[in-house]
Amino acid sequence: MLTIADKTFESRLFSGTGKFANPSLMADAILASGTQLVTMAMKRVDLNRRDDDILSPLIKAGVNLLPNTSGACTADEALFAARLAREALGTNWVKLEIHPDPKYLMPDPIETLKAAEQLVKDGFVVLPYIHADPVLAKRLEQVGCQAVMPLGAPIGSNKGLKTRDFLEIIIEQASVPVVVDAGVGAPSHAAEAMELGADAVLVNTAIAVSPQPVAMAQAFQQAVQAGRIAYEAGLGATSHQAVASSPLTAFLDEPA
Amino acid sequence: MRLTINGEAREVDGQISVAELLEEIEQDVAGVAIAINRNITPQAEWLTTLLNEGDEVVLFRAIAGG
Repeated sequence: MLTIADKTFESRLFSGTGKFANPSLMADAILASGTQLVTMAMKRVDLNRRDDDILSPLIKAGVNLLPNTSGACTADEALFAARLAREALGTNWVKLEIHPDPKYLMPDPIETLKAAEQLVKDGFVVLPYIHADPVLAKRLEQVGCQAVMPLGAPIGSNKGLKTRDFLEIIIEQASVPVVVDAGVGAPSHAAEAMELGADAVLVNTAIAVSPQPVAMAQAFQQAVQAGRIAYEAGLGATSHQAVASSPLTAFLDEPA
Repeated sequence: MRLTINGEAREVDGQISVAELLEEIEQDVAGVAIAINRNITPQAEWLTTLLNEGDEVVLFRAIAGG
């Protein structure tokens, strides 16, 4: 079981809600994934259009909601977005994400730390999205964040754990749960993150844009489970040279 | 009375509450947050908060995202 702040989770797979072809498919995939926590974004309503209702299926699915501050470019904007989300959804949980550059969507570490400190003071449960910077992860923990969410690779890139070596350091040093978020493009990446000792992974694009999101969601669920079981069981040490599986007896030699 | 709602100018009859405005513009209240002149108005105060001439109202909604 995974505990973050006041909640416990049986599933170590968290899911985004974005990029699905329609809300019904989103709901089916989320159900198939077994996830118990999904992210959402906040947006100015377009008064001339009816937005797709994605909130009802999520409430019906009984999943925990984690609003993000996507769109914010500064700490102040993130604070505003978080407060809006708390009002809109009635949760004090927030995924703090501040990425001003639209090309790579890299999270701004300075604005993130600034916003995190204030949000914690305001009573939020803060899950900050960051580059896999071990120093930053520790600083965020020290200001009271209840988890850290380092990236594997840029959002939506599906490139896997490009930050693997630094995720290992963060996992080793963290006293709060570590959720690998962004760039997890295949179930094997998710399993890899769990084998390293991550507490959870967050996947959005890889499931949502698959031609078969429900099947892909199942695959990710299994990968996260497999990776975690392996981690807890204890993975074998790696070796540069071969280590034989059977004794190297000379069974073909003639007796002397 | 003139207001701005999500950037669009709108004429409303007399002083109405936030709740009444939402009804008038036919917006679903689920997952919605409202800011008046950049101050967030809690849901508990929607019935009692009255809008004033020139107020800038912005509605936000929780949508799909990663």
